[in-house]
Amino acid sequence: MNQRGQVLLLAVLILSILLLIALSFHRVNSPRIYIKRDYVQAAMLVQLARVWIQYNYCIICIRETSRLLYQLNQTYGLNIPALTNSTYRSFNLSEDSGYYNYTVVFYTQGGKYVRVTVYYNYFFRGFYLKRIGGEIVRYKNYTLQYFHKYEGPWGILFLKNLSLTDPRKQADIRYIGDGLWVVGFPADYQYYIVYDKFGIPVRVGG
Amino acid sequence: MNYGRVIEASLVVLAVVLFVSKAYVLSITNYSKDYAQTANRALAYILLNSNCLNSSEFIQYCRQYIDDLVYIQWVYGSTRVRLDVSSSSICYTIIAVVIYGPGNYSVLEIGVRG
Repeated sequence: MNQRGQVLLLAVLILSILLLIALSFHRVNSPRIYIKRDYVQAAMLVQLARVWIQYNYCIICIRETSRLLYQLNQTYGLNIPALTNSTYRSFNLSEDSGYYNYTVVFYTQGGKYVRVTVYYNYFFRGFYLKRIGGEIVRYKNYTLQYFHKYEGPWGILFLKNLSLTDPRKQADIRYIGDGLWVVGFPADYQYYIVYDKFGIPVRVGG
Repeated sequence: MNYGRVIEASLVVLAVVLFVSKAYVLSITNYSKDYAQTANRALAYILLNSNCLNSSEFIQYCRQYIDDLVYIQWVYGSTRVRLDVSSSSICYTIIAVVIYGPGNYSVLEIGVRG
């Protein structure tokens, strides 16, 4: 090699190294790649758990919807990891007070992935009279506490104002705040069922 | 034939190729705007708060919570609603499904600027 060539080679190498160093300073440490397993996958499982609760842990429903999710995961490449699940429920429903607790937990090989809790309790507060058309109807008055709790990669999320609705349109439903509701319904009914915005039934009364 | 010249030229070419390849890798991994990741989390927030059974509600939430949208698509059975929001040369697609019961689901798809 002659001297001119060596100097040129050295110059190119030094320039390359300097440019690479300069470029690395401009580099931001967040990768450009799309993070496929992020919150969306866990959120889809929350919706699946809500469906199971809506159908009161119906075995056929759990089996069919799990199979559907598996198929959709393959079709659309959703990148939902391999999962196992546990479902729990506890309840005690009487006329004066009661509670219902549904919990669904999804596990990956690494441990707990998503936990969904749907909880409500109610207390009887007394009766009141309501004029409907030409007659006076006796109503039962309850306070109801109702919330969803979602634990996942995002941490813990509570949903409290779940827009309870009454398809029969006979109940008085009022949201007070912080997950508390006042629910009144005709005393002819032993219990009354209202529905949240996801279609999950909430039973008030024994 | 001057072997020294050939070796010099080869080494210069090698240095240039190494530089170009490394610079390319650095440039594509350099990402200052986390559109895709932010959109992914915003979409998850929408899914947690709504079952997205209503296309107009889903589109409204997307426009409200997700920046840099290119398009929004909502498919339920044979019904397909698509809204093109903006145009971009690079578009990341994020797909989610929402199951409502056995055999009953919708497919949600958003494109965000890259």
